[in-house]
Amino acid sequence: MQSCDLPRALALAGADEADPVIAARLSVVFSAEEERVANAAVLAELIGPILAERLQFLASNPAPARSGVPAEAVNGAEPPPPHRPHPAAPGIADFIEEMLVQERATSRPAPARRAS
Amino acid sequence: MTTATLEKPASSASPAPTLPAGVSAPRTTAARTKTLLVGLDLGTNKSCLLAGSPGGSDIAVSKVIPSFVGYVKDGIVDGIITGNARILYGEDALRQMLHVRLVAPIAAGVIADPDAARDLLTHIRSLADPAGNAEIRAVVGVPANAGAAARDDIRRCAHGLFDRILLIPEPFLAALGYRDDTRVGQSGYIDPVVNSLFVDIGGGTSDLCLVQGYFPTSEDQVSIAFAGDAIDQLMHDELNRTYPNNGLSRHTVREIKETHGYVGPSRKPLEVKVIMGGKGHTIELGDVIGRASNVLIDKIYPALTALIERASSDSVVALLQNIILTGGGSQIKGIDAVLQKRLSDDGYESPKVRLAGQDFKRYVALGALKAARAARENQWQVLLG
Repeated sequence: MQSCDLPRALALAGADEADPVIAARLSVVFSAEEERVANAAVLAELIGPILAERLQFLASNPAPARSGVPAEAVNGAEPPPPHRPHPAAPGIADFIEEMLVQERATSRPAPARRAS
Repeated sequence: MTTATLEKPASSASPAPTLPAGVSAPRTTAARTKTLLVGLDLGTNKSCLLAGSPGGSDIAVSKVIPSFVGYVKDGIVDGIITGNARILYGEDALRQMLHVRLVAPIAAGVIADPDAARDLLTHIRSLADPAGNAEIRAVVGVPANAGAAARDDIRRCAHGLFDRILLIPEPFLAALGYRDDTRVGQSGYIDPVVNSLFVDIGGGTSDLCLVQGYFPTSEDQVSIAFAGDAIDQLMHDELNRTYPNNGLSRHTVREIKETHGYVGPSRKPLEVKVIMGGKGHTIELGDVIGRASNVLIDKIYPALTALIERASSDSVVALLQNIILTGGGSQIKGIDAVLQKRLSDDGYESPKVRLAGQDFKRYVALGALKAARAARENQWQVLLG
């Protein structure tokens, strides 16, 4: 766009890119755009994982029957996403639970053999 | 020693522990002013303590302590021992080893001397909570596949010192500690808890663990009673054969190994200056060090391949890219390259063995602290007398 469309647009407007005033205004516009793109990239990095989680949740939890639909959904607003703490924390508790289940299974005494 | 996942406070029926001078006794539950979470790696040679508050990410206490207790000998003149203490711990005990009976409470990763272990844990508790008024909830690392007796020994020694406890295998804790929580979910980041093989080479044991998104079963873990101390012993024996009456202590041999240890082809000549009989000598130790250290590879490699073969065909290629060495043994020069080459030579697809890095001393304790922060209330175990 910068190499093709911009010169064409400037020509249509009768503006000369070499003009210092035009160049300064273009510089301001480009700087603002660069900042906007950088901010968007950061935002994407932040919300990307959250969106992925939400989509995964929605895929595995389809919308309930009409009578069970929350008022917000009936009114068109989306129901709030389920509370999901940081991905690392709940996973660790689940691991601990698995460990405790294994421990209880191994500490359970073996059933007595029946006399043949 | 039994445990229960209940909300009962620790029993006060058991006899009060004898505490060293200067250490505050833990107050009763009613007097506890705060809760402190502890992640503890109780190592054969070094223990690592991390402590912090619940619900946060701060680390208020971070200590690496040599796992030694020194009982001051009778007849030592006043003022020789700092504060005229009767029991010394860690670096203090090693520094004044001439004046103490030095005891290593942990051997092969498990408690070998319960009384000394309890004294060490008492000291560790005082480091975490100097005022002695906190409720302490501790996650303690145990060797992979540690038996019920070894676990009971830890619980028995910790009774009255920790209010709640959880024992979790060390290589799994290392994976948790190594995991960068800020990058979980990012594309390109391989979560070590999802698909990795951790090799934790300590002083007493080398523990291997397959971690693939579920808590490892006993078949996913291997503990080998050959690690840093065994290498020291082999070196010590060969030095005594080659240089009789050399007088070199195990401690000095360990220092030589930690400075010059390597695996792979011989790195002869490897000249090391040692003091024998008060005189300095430069001796060539390339083959002595190499032979002893290479035994570690021969011990670890079969366990490594056995665990790789447990992985499903869908996950094994990614797993081979995520073999991580941690623990003191990960500092042996060339250990990552040698293991990687051996896997590659045996036909494994593009294996990648890497070192956990300079923070290797803290990963187990860090994973333990993360586990302490994440544990649900009903998962904590209360020690009953």
